[in-house]
Amino acid sequence: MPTATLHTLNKPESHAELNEELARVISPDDALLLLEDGVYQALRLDVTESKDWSALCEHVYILEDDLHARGLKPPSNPNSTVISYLEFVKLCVQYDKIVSWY
Amino acid sequence: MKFSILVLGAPFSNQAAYSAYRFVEAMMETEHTIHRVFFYQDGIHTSSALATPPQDEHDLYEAWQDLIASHKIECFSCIAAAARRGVIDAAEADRHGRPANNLAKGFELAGLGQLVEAMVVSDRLVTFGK
Amino acid sequence: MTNKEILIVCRSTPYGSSNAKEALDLVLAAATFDQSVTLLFSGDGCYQLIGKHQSERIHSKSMERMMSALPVYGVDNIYIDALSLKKRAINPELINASAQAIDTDTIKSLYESATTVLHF
Repeated sequence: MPTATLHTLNKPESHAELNEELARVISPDDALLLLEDGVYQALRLDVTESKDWSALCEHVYILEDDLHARGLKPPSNPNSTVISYLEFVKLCVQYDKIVSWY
Repeated sequence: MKFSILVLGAPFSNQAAYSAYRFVEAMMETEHTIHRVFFYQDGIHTSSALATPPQDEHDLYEAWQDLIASHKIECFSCIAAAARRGVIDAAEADRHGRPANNLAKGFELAGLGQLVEAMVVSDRLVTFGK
Repeated sequence: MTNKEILIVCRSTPYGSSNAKEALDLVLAAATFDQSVTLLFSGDGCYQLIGKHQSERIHSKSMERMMSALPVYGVDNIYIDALSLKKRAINPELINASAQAIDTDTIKSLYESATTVLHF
């Protein structure tokens, strides 16, 4: 049975190769959590012409405290959700494994 | 479910140890359990008893120690990674003739076998990298 | 201990940071505890496999020598990302023969079948 993975990403787009390698590996059934500096990638979720993580995986989650700490607003992209640490824990249970990218 | 946590970054230098702290704290509100928190690479600095943040800054070291004490969480720092970076306990200080020891209360030094065991025995491993 | 499939992905250069050494230390620990370990070199990790290190010139332990011990510990699944090699203009002939070059689809399946994945 194929597994579904929760990927976590804590870097912005400037870490080009890290992002490329994640993009090569992430599957449509997987989810992505943006945390720490990775929340800056939430900005692209609301830019219609640009390809973003919501096109590559099931759902994009964004850690709310890291987002607000940086003065960013929750994106309106329906394939994204801003979450708490408690919800992060629950996501870990829901997915078969967690793969962290840093 | 049984979780283990791996921390690879030092407090202040990046958010790894902080994010891990918030995650572990959140876990305490659930029915899931923490098998072990393992500190490797620069993460071992979290277990220093000597790190002293300024008074007006959040003391993540104290926060971890309080969390460990309140919930009896098993926290290991990799003994080799810690020794290389200057975190040692009384036994290591004695063995290597060092003038002092600085492993914080609530932490123990352990080999990588404890990380391997944590990976094998846990349902989930969550890594906080730098 | 029950068996898990551990995938360790080395994305860092050797010697410039501790990542390469600390990854190998963990690989050897896992192998010692009879775990099934797969090692993938990707991105800058590919540089680790260029041979003939003279690490003593920078007072470092040889990553090359550490790697040669892997088969002795039963770590035979050693892969390298073909695309990363190409991007870095690394002639495959320079690469340690024990590593097998693989494509993106194979890398994806390694990630999918592993129970635990760590990046260094």
